[in-house]
Amino acid sequence: MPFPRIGSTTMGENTMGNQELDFNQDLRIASVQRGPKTMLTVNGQKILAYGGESVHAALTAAGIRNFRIAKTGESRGVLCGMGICYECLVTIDNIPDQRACMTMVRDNMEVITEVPLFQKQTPEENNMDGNQ
Amino acid sequence: MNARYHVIIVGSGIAGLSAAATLAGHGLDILIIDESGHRGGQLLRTTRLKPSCFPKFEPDLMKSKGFDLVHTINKDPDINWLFNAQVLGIFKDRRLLVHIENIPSHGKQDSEKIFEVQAENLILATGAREKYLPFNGWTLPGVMSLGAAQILMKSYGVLPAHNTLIAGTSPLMMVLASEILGNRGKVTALVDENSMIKKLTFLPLVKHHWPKLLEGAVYTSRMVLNRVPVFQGYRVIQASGKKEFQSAVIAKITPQGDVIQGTEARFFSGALTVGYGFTANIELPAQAGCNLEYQKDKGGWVVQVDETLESSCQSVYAAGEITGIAGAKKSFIQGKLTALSILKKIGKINAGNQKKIFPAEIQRLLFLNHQQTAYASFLNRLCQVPASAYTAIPDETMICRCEQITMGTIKKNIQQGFDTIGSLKKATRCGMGRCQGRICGPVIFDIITALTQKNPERIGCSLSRAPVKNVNIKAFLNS
Repeated sequence: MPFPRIGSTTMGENTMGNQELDFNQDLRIASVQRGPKTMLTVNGQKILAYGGESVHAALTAAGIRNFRIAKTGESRGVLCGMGICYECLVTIDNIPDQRACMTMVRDNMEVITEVPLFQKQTPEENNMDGNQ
Repeated sequence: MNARYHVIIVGSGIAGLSAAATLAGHGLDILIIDESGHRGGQLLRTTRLKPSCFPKFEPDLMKSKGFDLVHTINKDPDINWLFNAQVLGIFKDRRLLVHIENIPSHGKQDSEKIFEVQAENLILATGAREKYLPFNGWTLPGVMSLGAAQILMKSYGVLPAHNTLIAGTSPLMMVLASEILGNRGKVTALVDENSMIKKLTFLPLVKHHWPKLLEGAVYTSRMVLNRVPVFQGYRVIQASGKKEFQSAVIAKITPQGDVIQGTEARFFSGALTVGYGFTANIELPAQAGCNLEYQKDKGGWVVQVDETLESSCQSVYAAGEITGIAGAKKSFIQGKLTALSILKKIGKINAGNQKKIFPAEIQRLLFLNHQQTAYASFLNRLCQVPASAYTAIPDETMICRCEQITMGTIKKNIQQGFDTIGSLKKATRCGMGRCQGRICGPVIFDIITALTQKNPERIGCSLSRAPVKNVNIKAFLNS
């Protein structure tokens, strides 16, 4: 079978994958025809969205993945994406606990996540969390 | 909205659609209820392409068949649709408690309400969800199911991340990788728990589904062309990152499912998608009182049905993934079969030449339905992980994500004798959170099985009561 064999060089403490991510590049797929442009307010900040997108999709495209804080204080984001896991709960237009994956964006929608947005992470924080 | 329908179909996936299409044109009042806002369930999702773009090549035959189905029944006057609505419970004489969610077009905040509707015949086609194998860090934002990543791309045209690490046992991994690459995203690597040898041993079970192998070949060739590293016989053992997912550690595993020390490698990626196969959404049929049975090769607990696909509750039928995970083709066949069973029962098939072809058609569908069993066991065996994978979950790993119950707590309680789903739930609160055990339930079942080797009937299935989905108390007040 044409699967690449794993050489010993990729093992051990070596790392693979692109470590320097270009966060300015758009996650929206270029070939897709989008609905009308609209603006969402997420924790007071404006983000771009298009009609027909779910809140989950709009937030993902804006680089937001922390949606809520669990009982023990850790942040959570979307798991199932289809309305089953209730991990993506956000406050939408003052109604708490709405599933971001099941709610479609609409004009002047106001979304509040439980996690402060656009936190600048320090280089130390960007490293591993010390589990290994 | 009527107060009563001849047939109510819960779920508008392939099974629900094919049932509706077969029932249409017989003068019946049909209502389809779906939780989402679109027709077609999880499989039939699509975005419109810009006019300048070429249509995408779709190797899955069932999808094009499904889209045709949506197209034909879309404007059928017999069929009524109810979207963004959840069935909270099914009561005596098939009375359904339905919750309509906030829909923007209905005005501001108070469009949420609850009402009752009765079905003479009820078809449950609630579909399936993904299964997981928990590891440290699977609760980090950026770790998601394969389906979540697919939905982002297929329904909304948004890539899950700039580069995505794909892991698990599910055949969806290949589909997802292919879709990401086709949309000019990057796949960091594909980490397949099954080794090539293990996959080859399952090959004889494919049988009548050989076109699926071609589909797989299309996906594989795309990965090879894009030089995606493929690791077979590897498992993700840890995800790390500060507040969000940043990297994952993978390790080689033995055929028995044990991690081989010293083979760990770390991958940095924008997102991690995982999937370990599927399990049926049996919460609603369980609440309705339908008998369930545990079939490992059908994905776990499924609804018990007879030849006409009627469940143990009178005039409550089950079609598609909830009678056993087997993919779209089986759902299509079973949708048709339930519809014909209902038409036969209520005597709506006397008109014209339909009378002659009818028994033959049922026989043909039953045969096709039976054919799916082999493919189903291929699909589900491919996705299964060995028991040792569950016993090896570290104590600090979160199992119940809603109630924050760790493997350590669960293990301790199982050892103390809380070794059924019901007693463990009472002892630890696992499965009592917002998802009501939909995510952790199948995992906990497998953990108990792995630790105690008890038989499935003794471990049991989580009880399900109305409302089976979360609902604001306000919805009751508005009604």
